[in-house]
Amino acid sequence: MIEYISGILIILSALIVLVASIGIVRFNNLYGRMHVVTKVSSFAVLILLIALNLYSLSIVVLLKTVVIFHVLIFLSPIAAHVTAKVAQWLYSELPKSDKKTKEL
Amino acid sequence: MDPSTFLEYSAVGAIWIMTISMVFPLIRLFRGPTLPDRVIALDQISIIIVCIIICDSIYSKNTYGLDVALVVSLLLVIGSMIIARFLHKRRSEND
Amino acid sequence: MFWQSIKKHYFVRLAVNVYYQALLFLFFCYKIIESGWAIALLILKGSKGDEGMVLTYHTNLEKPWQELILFNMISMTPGSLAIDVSEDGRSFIIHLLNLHEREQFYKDAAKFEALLKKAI
Repeated sequence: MIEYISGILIILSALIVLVASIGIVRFNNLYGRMHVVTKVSSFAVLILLIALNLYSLSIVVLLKTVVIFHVLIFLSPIAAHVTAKVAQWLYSELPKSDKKTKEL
Repeated sequence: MDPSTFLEYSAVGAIWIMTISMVFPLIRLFRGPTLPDRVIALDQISIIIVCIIICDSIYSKNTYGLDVALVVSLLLVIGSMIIARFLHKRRSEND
Repeated sequence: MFWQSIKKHYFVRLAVNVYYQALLFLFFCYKIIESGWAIALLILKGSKGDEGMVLTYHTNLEKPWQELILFNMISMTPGSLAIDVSEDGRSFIIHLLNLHEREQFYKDAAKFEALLKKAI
């Protein structure tokens, strides 16, 4: 029984990844694409890891998935922040911050 | 249908859907107007690769794939930081 | 009476901290699910993502790790992304995806700060 729920969650996660990839092509400014990469893909990875933990009831798998999830959700906003800051600093048509930043 | 074969079929179907969805970030990678757009597309491709590795570890019932997924998800962050650093340095040398 | 006498003890304080941090983590997971679903629906409706705005948000949190968690949490609420931090860490620059949801964003951020101040 639990395998059916797990399989349906895996298919749902794949469809969410497909929606995120379509959104990357459709959105027409940089910050909108950054929203998509940060949130929708983290959501897809969360659903996939929940499905894996439902299927294999092991403590080692739980700890590994917790590590992967923490890396993805705590570091991908920082990567988006660094990219947005460089884009702000390089191209003046994007909205500027109120102070001039000289180093990363 | 047998439950374990259903799980294997769904994992294979998820790998197919994810492989097809890798086309859209490639479109953005080829025609992105600026270089940060291409960095964002590369981030999306790395996250799809992480998802494919996790699906493969579900399909083959082998948990060592999760270590590979951890390393790839670390490389995602460090790679985008290194590209940002490189852009900053190139701009500073041109000025 | 008993709770008042035991409240200053170190282990009890530690237990309360751990309880609030676990609550914070569960709240974070719930926020990720909510925001991912909201933006996936926005993509499926055919939005182009071109009605965004940039605003500055001021906080009054003291500790650096609270600012870090607030930064990540603002990035995970539906429709808002933290772009930049000032040098003293007191003001963030935030991009909103939909400019009609400004009031909702201020309400959510006030809720995060109230939860972060309890987690010491």
